[in-house]
Amino acid sequence: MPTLAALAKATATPNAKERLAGLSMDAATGTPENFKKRVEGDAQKWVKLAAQMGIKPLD
Amino acid sequence: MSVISSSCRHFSAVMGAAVLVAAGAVTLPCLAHEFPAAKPIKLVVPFPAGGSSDAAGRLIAQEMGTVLGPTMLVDNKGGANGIIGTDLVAKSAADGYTLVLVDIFHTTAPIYTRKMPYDAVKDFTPVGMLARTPAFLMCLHWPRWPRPQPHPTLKSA
Repeated sequence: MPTLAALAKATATPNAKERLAGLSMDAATGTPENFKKRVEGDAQKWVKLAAQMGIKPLD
Repeated sequence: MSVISSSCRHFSAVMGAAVLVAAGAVTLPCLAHEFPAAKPIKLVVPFPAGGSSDAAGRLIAQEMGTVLGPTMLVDNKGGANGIIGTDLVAKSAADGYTLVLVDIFHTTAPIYTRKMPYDAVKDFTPVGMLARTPAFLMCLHWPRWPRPQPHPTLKSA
């Protein structure tokens, strides 16, 4: 995926790391597969937590 | 992605910023040798200009543009806690030319929004993580509380 390669290169440059640090951010990388698992896992986690806490969607 | 400082106690957590495209974008066989073409690639930042998401989006768009070649455009589409801009990408052509920068709102919005216009998991193809940033949960200082008086658990706070 060219976009992923570009993103990886973009976040790896010293300039990008320095500018991200200026925003209190740390550059992060990972494969789309890992990211997909993260999104799926987070979505399930929040739904479960909301159910436990009785959080209901707004109208 | 917001970082909120607090004079009260806080609990640290980590939130991330990441990039998604509309689902199906990377499965189009014609993209293998043609992408990226001469037309610009749009990065939708689903928040108003001037915030930390906007700054991160512009930074990464600039850097990605030097790698990919075509111009990277940043398009701020704020509103509804990121849902409006993200929905725009969900309904865009799945050709890889429209990206969206998301953070934790992407997976939390469905729990407090009854009518989500898209499926946060199924309607997007993850591209990659961009950055991690700290976040803080804070409470208003109440003068009657001795300070500092950390709560032992989140529930007690």
